[in-house]
Amino acid sequence: MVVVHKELSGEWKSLDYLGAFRVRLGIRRNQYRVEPGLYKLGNPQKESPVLVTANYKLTVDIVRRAVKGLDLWILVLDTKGINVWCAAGKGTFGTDELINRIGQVELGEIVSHRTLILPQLGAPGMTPVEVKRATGFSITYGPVEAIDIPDYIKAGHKASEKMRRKVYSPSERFNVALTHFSQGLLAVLIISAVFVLLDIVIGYKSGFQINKSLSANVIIAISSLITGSFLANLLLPLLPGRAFSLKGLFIGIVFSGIFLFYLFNVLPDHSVLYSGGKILFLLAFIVYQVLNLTGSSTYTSLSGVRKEMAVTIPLSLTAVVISLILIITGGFIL
Amino acid sequence: MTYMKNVTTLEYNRDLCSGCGFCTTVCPHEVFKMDNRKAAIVDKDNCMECGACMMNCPTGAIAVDKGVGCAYAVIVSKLRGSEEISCDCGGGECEEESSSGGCC
Repeated sequence: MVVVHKELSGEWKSLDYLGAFRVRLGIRRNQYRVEPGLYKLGNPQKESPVLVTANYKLTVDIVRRAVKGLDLWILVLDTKGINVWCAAGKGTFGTDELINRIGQVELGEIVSHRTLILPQLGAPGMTPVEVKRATGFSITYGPVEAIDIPDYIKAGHKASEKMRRKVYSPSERFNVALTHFSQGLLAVLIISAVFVLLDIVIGYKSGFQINKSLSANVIIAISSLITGSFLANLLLPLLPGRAFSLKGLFIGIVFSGIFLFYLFNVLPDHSVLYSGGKILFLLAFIVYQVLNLTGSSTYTSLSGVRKEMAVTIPLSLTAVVISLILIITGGFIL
Repeated sequence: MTYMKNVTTLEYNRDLCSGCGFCTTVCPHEVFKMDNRKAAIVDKDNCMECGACMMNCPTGAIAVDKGVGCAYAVIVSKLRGSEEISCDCGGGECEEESSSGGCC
């Protein structure tokens, strides 16, 4: 049987850019997939290097663009559309899948050498001795970032110290924030709607102005999302403390100061307790968002996250309860 | 950027080390360095417990409670009552949970 290998290009088309932007907004990210299997890039021969990657389309796109102009084989594993690092953590970018895929595409028949280049961040899923035993192929780890692959190959399959370290660059933090922002929009919608409804209920006797209430509540809710996603993640190294919750608390307090003042100004009829209750609720929301930034950061550990959550979750829930008490007391009782 | 101090579950037994250097290669945060033909831990607090060193160590000299440093994953596991903390931001089967998730 002649196996026809699909070809990959090193170029991005407009659809690729659109797709990358869409998944960064978090829209149908899990369906952004490439069919697993062996692909050709350029005109690979029996001696050409074999790169291994995940079947998240954005991952494949970044790899093929990075190695544009080289002749390579690209073995795409079935990671259910998840990027290399996350899939390695889950084990889907793992030993079993690699062994199976090598057998399925009959890689041993196609190339004459017995070396695979894996992304370094795929290492948490791999046991090289088992792969070697089952398939005869040796695993070597390429650089962390796909962009360094050409230099890695040129240097005789050697990565510099710098290529081995994972940093968390401002542009990565921006992209992550974009995803978090887009995923928080529904929460903002709900919070704003509830705040406006509360304003209507407490203000229906006096001169209630829907425009003012609507704009003020949407502004504070959306600002809390921007603070908890973009501001927090871009300022991450500058915010005090090591725990993400602490960083979130810090930026949340700054937010609270500014927007409490704002609320007093635009809705002066509302009591201090009532407006303060809303802001306290949003402060807890900001801390929660920043806590959740741990998952997409590049350096947090499970033990550390557990430790900070043990303090943060009870405190945040208490803050939410207090905020509700303040809103009810300030708006409906006093 | 460094995360919390003195929390990692990373353990290393120098007596078992064969000196292959895989751990220094795979660690994305320079926790290991080669020292006198064996690996040595140089910055334990940089460890993010990804498990790469343990998985790739051919002699079992490294142990770590491997997991994802993701608060959302911890919350989801708690709510589901599952012991394992894994990144569930995808995989098709868990589409609904993942749509609101933070990680990956």
